[in-house]
Amino acid sequence: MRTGRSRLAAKVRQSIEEPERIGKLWEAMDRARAARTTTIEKAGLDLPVFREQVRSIKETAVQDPTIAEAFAEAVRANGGHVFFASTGPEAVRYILDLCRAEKAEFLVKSKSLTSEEIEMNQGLEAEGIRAIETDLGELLCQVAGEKPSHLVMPAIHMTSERIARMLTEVYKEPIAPEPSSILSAVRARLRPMFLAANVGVTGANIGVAETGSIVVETNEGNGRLVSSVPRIHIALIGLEKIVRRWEDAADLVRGHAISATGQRMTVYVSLISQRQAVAGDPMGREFHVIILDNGRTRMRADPIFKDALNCIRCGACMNICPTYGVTGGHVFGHIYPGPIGIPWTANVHGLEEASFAHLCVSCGLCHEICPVDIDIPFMIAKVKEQDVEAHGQPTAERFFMASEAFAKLASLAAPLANGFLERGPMRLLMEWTLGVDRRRTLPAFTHRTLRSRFRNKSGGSERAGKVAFFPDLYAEYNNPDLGLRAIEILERLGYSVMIPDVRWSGMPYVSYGQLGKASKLAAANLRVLAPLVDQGYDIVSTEPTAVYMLRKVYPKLQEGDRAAQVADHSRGFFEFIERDLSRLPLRPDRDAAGTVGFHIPCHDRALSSGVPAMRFLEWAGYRVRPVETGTCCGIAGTYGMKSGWLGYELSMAVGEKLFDQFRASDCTLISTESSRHEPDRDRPDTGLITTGLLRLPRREVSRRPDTRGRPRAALPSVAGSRGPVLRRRRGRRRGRALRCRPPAGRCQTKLGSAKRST
Amino acid sequence: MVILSEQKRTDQFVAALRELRAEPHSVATRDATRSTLRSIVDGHRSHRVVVANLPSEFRTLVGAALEGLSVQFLEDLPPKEVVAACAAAEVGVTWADFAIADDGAVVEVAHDDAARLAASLPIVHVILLPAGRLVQDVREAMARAGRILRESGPAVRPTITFISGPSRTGDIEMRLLYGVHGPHSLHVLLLDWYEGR
Ligand code: SF4
Ligand code: SF4
Repeated sequence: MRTGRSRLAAKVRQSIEEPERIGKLWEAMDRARAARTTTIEKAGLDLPVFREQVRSIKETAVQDPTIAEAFAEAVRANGGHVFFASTGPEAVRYILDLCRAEKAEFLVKSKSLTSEEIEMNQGLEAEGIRAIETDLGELLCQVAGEKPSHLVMPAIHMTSERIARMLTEVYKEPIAPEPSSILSAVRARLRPMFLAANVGVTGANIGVAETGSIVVETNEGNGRLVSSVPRIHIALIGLEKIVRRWEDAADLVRGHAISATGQRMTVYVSLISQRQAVAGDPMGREFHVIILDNGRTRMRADPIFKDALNCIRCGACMNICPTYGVTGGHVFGHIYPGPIGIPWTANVHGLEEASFAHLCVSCGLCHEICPVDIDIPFMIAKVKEQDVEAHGQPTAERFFMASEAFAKLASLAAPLANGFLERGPMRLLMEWTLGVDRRRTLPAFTHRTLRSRFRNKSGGSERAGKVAFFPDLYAEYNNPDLGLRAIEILERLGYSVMIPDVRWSGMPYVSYGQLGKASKLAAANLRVLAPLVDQGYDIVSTEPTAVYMLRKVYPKLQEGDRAAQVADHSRGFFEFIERDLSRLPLRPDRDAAGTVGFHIPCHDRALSSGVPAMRFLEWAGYRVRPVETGTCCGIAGTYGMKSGWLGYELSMAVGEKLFDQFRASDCTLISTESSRHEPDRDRPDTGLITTGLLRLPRREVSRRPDTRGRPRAALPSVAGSRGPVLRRRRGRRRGRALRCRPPAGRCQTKLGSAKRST
Repeated sequence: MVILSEQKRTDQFVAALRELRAEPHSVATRDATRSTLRSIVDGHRSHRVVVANLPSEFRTLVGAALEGLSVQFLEDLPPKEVVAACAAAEVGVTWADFAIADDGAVVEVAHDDAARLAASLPIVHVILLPAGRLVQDVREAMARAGRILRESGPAVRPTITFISGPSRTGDIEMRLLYGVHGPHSLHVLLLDWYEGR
């Protein structure tokens, strides 16, 4: 894959260096997500319930082996023709034959991803028949000779200037770079085509078996014209789109519109069962339905990839994917773009075309936004696994998968190791040999690990319950203070705490496609954790990624009750203590001036969306506000530490969007729940503080109540305690480096202005 | 699902239509229907109108309302001329069987494609809807459509379309534009006085 990956890296570089290639994609994604949220709120949609319903409708239908035949029979009973195509070329051949019989030189089509999957246009064109796209975005792509870059907004990578220039040239008449002028020009050009066409091809968003009908949804109305004017209407439908009853279709129709563009409904939702007469004359009109398999039956039998068949092609997953947002659908896609494009491509177009899987940083956000609750990241991990098996694995990824062993070693050799890890030559060497970018600060290690400092015997009572604290690597080897404070708080709240003999959580195995190793690790950890759960323990971690692994990923790696039970009893630290917050002896800190900008860690979006952590900060007296792009910060665990375009550079391109937000905000402190802290040595103004947040009462509650009679607890300011906090090192070269060290006093870092007040 | 009073439902529907940039007109009498229809057509400075899928009693009404203009009742035309007539017309007048209050969608039930052509090709679409035919949400609407399709029986099933506002696109820089292939304007005449056909 060397070549696959290096080709991919070159494309990533192009997208990042020439942003005009992707146009206003990022803004469009933002707006689509905002519209989706607004509509969900306005419609009063209970999202979890809705997702469950949509999922159960799709799952039932997709797994029903007789549904396609029932659908076909009903279509025939309505007088339609049905053709089962097991491959793309078969489907194209069928369409070609119909066109030939009709002596059609061209056909009009409304948007159909399935037709793109089988490369219908190219197939027909090779035989001299033109397929004219009528969806505006698709048409623009066709004229430009490009592939669509988004499922729902195919031409989102083009600016209106570029479109106007292109159409002026092709239509040979001046067209102003105004969307409305473009629109009129296209309408005028396409109208005669619609009127003259003898063959029309549409996709189908849904097939309904009980009456042999299809549902075609378009906003522009082209689907209506394509299916009403021509003598022959051909509908191409993927096997997975068929449901049993009309009652099943309602939620899908709603799901398409809301998730795709934030509309309540697509403008034209057509329920087509047969051809109709025109003014009473049947005119020999024909209806043909092509049911396409093209690998779907095989996918249905695959325990992991069958989930991809539940996709309703709404495009929501690509509206949230951070690396798609900076590379665009031509890089992050083959024919199917975006997150769900990865498993689809691997299955219908082959592994070789799916190497863009390595653009996935495993943030998990696509799964969270999917209206069908599809675990896209897990399928992507599987694709990566297949790819790595076929083409090998880069050293950097192997290095990060060995993080646990490395952390053990480094902590044994700390502080010597820290010196090395900080210094130039060593880091240069690491970059050369391991592919770890030297611009990334690696967290410092300590030989006084959490376990060595915590006598595995809790001082706490069991009043409130029993907690098994899962440290993961960071709290164990880098920042045991964090772990100890968390444990201290738990004990104060009446929990007895122990640290179980677990290993790390192992996210990099999933990120880099070593599911076998991930699964073994999960088994080992579950062997320790499951009995604890049986004994009444809750599992608590300060690391959102660890909780994500325990709750969301282990149950997929290890089926069965054990994983499910452990998942049920695993909580993030802040979520776990949230209900006890009022019992926590915190007093709003008078010094807690300013506003904390809080970045929600990706993996926490699947859990508690950072809400309990923000509440905690508020409880401690801070003004808190999420500062976010709605997607990832870019570092994604270890992905952004790899050197090169499939690592550091890509992560910075994503991060840049977040840094902009921080710069524009008025917050004086930056915080997030996750452990990593990623300053950028070359661009100090882009440092992102990550605190463990747990700057908590280090002294006992003071005996003397405060003036209002509340017990007094000394609460050091967020950044004023001993945990590693980034601060600007005063050096000769101003603002040259940010690094991680215990600050002496109060430290406030503001991005952009690099202001520090003490 | 909340059961709303008839009036509330209508208000909700009207608000939803406006949000979709469709234009609602409540008409209380036969006369008001005539005059509203006329003023819509005149307002668009249109002269050529195609009409399809209306209950027979409305044909006289529409004919009278649009006197002096070129009005073609598609069902009366030679079938081969229907497409051309629609393409040449500026306004299409058709019928809605019911509508969805929550979403502002009107539902067209077409046993003949003249209806779909009249509603899709002209730049202005006027659709008449008996005011009492509102269902609450898309689920109810889909159940109703499903019932119609099932009850029609094989080979005589209508084509049913939920129409939510005028034709639109966001394909250029996600900027909302209307009238890309279908109508640029959608007028919904809510017939308060008409019960059914
Ligand atoms: S997990 Fe994150 S990076 Fe990977 S495809 Fe999904 S959204 Fe994109
Ligand atoms: S995977 Fe989910 S979010 Fe992505 S297009 Fe399919 S249904 Fe939509």
